[in-house]
Amino acid sequence: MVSKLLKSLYIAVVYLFLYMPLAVAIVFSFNDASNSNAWSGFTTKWYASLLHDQSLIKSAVRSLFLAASSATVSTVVGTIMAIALHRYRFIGQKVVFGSLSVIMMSPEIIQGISLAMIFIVLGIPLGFTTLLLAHTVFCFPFVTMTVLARLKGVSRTLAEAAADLGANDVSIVRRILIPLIVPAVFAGWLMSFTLSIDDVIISFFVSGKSYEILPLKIYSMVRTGIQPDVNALCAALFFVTFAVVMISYRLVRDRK
Amino acid sequence: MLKTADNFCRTAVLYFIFIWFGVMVFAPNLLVLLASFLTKEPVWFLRLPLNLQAYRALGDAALLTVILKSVGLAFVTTLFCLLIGYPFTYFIAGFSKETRALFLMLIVVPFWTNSLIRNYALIAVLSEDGLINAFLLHFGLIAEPLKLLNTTFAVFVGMVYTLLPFMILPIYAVLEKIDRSIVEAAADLGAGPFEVFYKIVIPLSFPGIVAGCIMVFLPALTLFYVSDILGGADVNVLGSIIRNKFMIDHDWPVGAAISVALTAFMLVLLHLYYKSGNTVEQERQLW
Amino acid sequence: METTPHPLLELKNVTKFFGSNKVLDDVDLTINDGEFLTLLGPSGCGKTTLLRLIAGFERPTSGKIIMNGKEISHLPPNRRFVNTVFQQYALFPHMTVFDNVAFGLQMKGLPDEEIEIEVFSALEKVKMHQFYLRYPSELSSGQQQRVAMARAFINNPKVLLLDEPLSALDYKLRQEMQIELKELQRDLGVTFVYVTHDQEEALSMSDRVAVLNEGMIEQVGTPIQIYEEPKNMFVAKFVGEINVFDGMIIKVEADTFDTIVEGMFYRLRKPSTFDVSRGGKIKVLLRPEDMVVSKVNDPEAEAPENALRGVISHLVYKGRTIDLWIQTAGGNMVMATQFFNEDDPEIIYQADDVVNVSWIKDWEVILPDA
Repeated sequence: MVSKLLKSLYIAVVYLFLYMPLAVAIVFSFNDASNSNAWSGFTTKWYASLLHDQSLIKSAVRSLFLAASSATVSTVVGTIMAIALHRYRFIGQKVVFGSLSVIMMSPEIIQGISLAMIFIVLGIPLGFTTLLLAHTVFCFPFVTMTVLARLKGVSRTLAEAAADLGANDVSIVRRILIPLIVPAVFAGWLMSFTLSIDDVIISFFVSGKSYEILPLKIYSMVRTGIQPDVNALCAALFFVTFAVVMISYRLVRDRK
Repeated sequence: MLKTADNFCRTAVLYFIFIWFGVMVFAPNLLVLLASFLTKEPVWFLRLPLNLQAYRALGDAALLTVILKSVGLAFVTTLFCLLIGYPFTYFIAGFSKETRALFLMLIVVPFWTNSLIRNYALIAVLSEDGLINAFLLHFGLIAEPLKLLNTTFAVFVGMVYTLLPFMILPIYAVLEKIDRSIVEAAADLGAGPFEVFYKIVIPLSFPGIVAGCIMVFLPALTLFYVSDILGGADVNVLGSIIRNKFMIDHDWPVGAAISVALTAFMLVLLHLYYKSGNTVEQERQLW
Repeated sequence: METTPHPLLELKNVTKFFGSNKVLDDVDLTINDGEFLTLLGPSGCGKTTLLRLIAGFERPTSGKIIMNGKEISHLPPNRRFVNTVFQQYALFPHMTVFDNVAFGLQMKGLPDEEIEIEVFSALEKVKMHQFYLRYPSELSSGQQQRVAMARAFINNPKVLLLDEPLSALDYKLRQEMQIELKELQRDLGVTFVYVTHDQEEALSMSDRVAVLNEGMIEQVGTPIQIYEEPKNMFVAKFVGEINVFDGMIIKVEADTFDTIVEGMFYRLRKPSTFDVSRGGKIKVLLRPEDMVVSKVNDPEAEAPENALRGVISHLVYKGRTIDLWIQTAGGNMVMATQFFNEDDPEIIYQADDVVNVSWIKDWEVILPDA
């Protein structure tokens, strides 16, 4: 009884730690004072000022577009790679497989610097293209791993059964493998999207002045000091994320 | 006919994989390795000749002190994430399937919120007129507000706050898979709750612990925005040093040399991880 | 059966290595058109590998697989007139019963109307037509088994390969499906190659059985031949229970020979498969149901001719029969299966009863002592 109470208390404290800063930010996003953490009355003016901040909205749209594009490219690349790793035996397969987990564990700063270097060497100007390529590089291993795990769950005999019934490689992929891995592909896309939209460090190195995306915009905002509209942005982003998580959770549950 | 179509498919896919990995994965890292052996140059950043100058610079006392401080901070962060995260994960793994899914989602929600924003939100908690100081002053526990913000402590709190989910999720993935009947078998054979935990649960979840520690330790070394937001100018993590070498000092060879050292360290960690993971996997197969 | 068998599938000197591990060793086997042939053997004997070679999932390391006179060893599975029923059925989980069964015909590019007719006729044959909209996960394992059958035979294969298709079913259902499978095979007239480790299944369903052990074929024959005339000790011991006695040949006549078994004198018929010579050692094999047991009321009396004296060590009641384990004076443990005869009250056995054990004359199998 007591131990159960203690367990619940412990769980509650950890959640408090995780959520309190967010709660504080949400509360202060409605605070009328412009340069203090003392409460001085309710207002929604910070949200209004967010909506009127053209450059902020522009960078948010860019971020969404970048996240959607890089998630899509990562999903295509990652899925092809997962199928290839699962179906084919080739020289260097172990190296490719090992590299995937190295990329996933690799500190973002090293990926950012090394990608910036290759873009400079290849003469690709920093901007949307480099952001897209870089985001794809750090997202696709997550897709590959998710899809590969699913493929491993699908027994090899299903592909054999299809071949036995007259299917060639192309039909096996189209009729058996792809339909079976669709949920994993969808999950991989969602994961890539969130990784991309949250990335600061890699984007910091590979984005040019011409193409400012939301995390970097936020970065410059928070570095210039406390502004209540950052609180409002924080709250707004939190609610958007929360809604996305809820909807995707519902979708996944309904599928089952 | 079909055979050739299948072969074409295979060849095309494999070429794509090799080119992708070659250009986007191996070439960039080789460039960093190469840069670490080149010489600093004011306009083009790098020039010949090849030398070990950059690696010698790593031994510089001032630089070494900053690096070691960052390593110490990362170590303490990892330790606290483990100490907080393991019991938490163990407790929630004991709930029913639906409750577990809910608890896990509650972990994931802040994890999916922009990490800059989350660290920024900590300012309102840690600042001199922030929540903690207000609380302590209100109950008369302190007379003067404590300086929490812009200290190593603030960076530590920010790191634990940011990285705790990275400790919880891999441990949860392993704990969830542990067959309940194994735990029951241990209890049936006379093990008490503590012995079950110590002799069964901990060893079986060891790969998750190692994975969690790696996934906390490496970012704790490199997430420079956490130290930027919460540590002010005084606290630098390894990531800030690398960034400054490239972006401010324009000393690419030294920046690259630190990166190479960090990569080498990561590879050692990953190697150890796969070794630990494999032994447990093999033991499982033996059963 | 009256017509002379026409060989459909021939395996010639087929050897298969997995790495340095030899799983099939120079296998020769001819499978006749329309027959039900079972590959029987313990796990790891190579029977599934043999099946996968015929299906085309594996290529032989050496040797040939010939169908209707044409070599098919190196054709991919989709170009052989062979279909497989997999052990765990391998039904496509994302397709309905209908789509699963239609898959092979769709791959052939048949028009939809034709496919529909064929699929329903196939599903009717396995009594699954009313379930055509279900997904595999919504079917019992017995139903899944039927769908897997329909999905394979709808393609009109020359040979249908079945890899332990009943092993996932419970005992009762397995019995029923054995009969259904056999009927289906007669109905379709398709050659079945059936893999199992269950000797009862093999004996009850097959036209011929090939017994495999460690990558080699030990014996091929009808179920009666396999059971009654095992060619070697492996087949004798693997298929059914058997009692083994050591014998020493003391005299050889024209049609018979004399031997000593457990100190008793026997005159047995000469085996046709090998020569016996004086002083040679032999094994005398007897099925438990060929043993004759009689209770001894006076233990002091001599055992009659051709009978061994023994004591019942334990007995297992089986319903219709009773298995007796008898410790003979010579130190052997003999198993004897006795049918109940309700009119005969004498046939109530108990442990420690003293009995005489003999066997029905000429029902023994003689093998050389290797």
